Amino acid sequence: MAAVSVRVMAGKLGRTGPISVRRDVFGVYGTNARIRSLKAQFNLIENVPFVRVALVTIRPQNSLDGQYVNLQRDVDNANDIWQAESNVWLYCTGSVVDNSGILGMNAVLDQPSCPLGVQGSPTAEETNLFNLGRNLGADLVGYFIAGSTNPGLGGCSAYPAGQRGFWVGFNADQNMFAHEITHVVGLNAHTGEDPDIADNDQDNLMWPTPGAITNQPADLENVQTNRIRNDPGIETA
Amino acid sequence: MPYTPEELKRLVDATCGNELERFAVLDEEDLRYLRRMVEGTVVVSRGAQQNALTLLGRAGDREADSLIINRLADYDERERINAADVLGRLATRDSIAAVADMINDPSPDVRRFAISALGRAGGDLARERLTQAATEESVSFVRRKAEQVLQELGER
Repeated sequence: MAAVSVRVMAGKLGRTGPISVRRDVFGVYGTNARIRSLKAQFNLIENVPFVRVALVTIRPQNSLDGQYVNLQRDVDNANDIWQAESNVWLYCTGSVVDNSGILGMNAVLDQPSCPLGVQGSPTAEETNLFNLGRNLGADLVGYFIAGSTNPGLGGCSAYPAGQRGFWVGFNADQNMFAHEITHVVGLNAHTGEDPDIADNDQDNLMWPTPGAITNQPADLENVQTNRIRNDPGIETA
Repeated sequence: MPYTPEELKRLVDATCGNELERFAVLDEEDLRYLRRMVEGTVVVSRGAQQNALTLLGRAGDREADSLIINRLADYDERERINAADVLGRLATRDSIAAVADMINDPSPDVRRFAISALGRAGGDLARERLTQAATEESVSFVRRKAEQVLQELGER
């Protein structure tokens, strides 16, 4: 590879001004110990399609807790699966914490249903939540919250029209983030609802209980990866 | 019965909310099986019990109201939030009275969701308790929620 500069690579991602290699080139905003190769990242930026995602952690009003502790673990896991299965990568454009109290004292979202894709009649709380993070440079926003009305659920990808996003519950399995973002990007349904995927494919990322996926890392079939690659949010640098 | 017991058990085990959207049609046998999950005679995880509860609410299974009301004392904060939502959907006299009582729950967030559930249910008792919450509630975000729901009820 010819000599290239960090600034040039960051510029390909739309980053200008003072550059942080960690944030602006790798898109890393949390802690998850692993070796990250600048050469490999440059190769991704130059040659591999990607999706921008911004992250918001919702905390109770005036809480001093920071962003979700497993945020980077979840993003790295999703990136590993997507790169291995679909040759698409995730670029995280920013991560913020909201402690304005929009979801009460326990950060639980009022969400009566979870359709695939657009939520037809979002509650006021859904509308307020999905308004957050829209200034972080990504069309797609992932929210880390305590959960929704039903405590049996760890994630949902329904979003108000025009505000693509999804939420993942604190302490959900590490596959939950990858699962939910794959619902939004490519509109991939659960295995039992996807006519192109075997109903009993428990190795698949779109198994409805991501914590029970077998033979990890999770798989994606060609039809699913094609949906991801054809998503309107896919970019090339 | 559109689902076998094994299918129902596997489906309520889901942790992604989208899976619950598959339960568009539940017949009486399915509902009876879901009720048994909630009461614990069919053993499933606590999370799956809550999914079963949610499905009973969506199905409007009015027979489930006493089953849920009798378990409220054993439910934690998150489970009471779900129960408030489900009881509001069932909209029986007993279920609305139970949600109205949850306006006095020690948890402000349970009170917040009870207010939402009362707003969805509507009716005289709901209006009375919402008016009470809008004037007497001590936690500001809960009080604001009551004011907002009352306003929405007035616009219907």
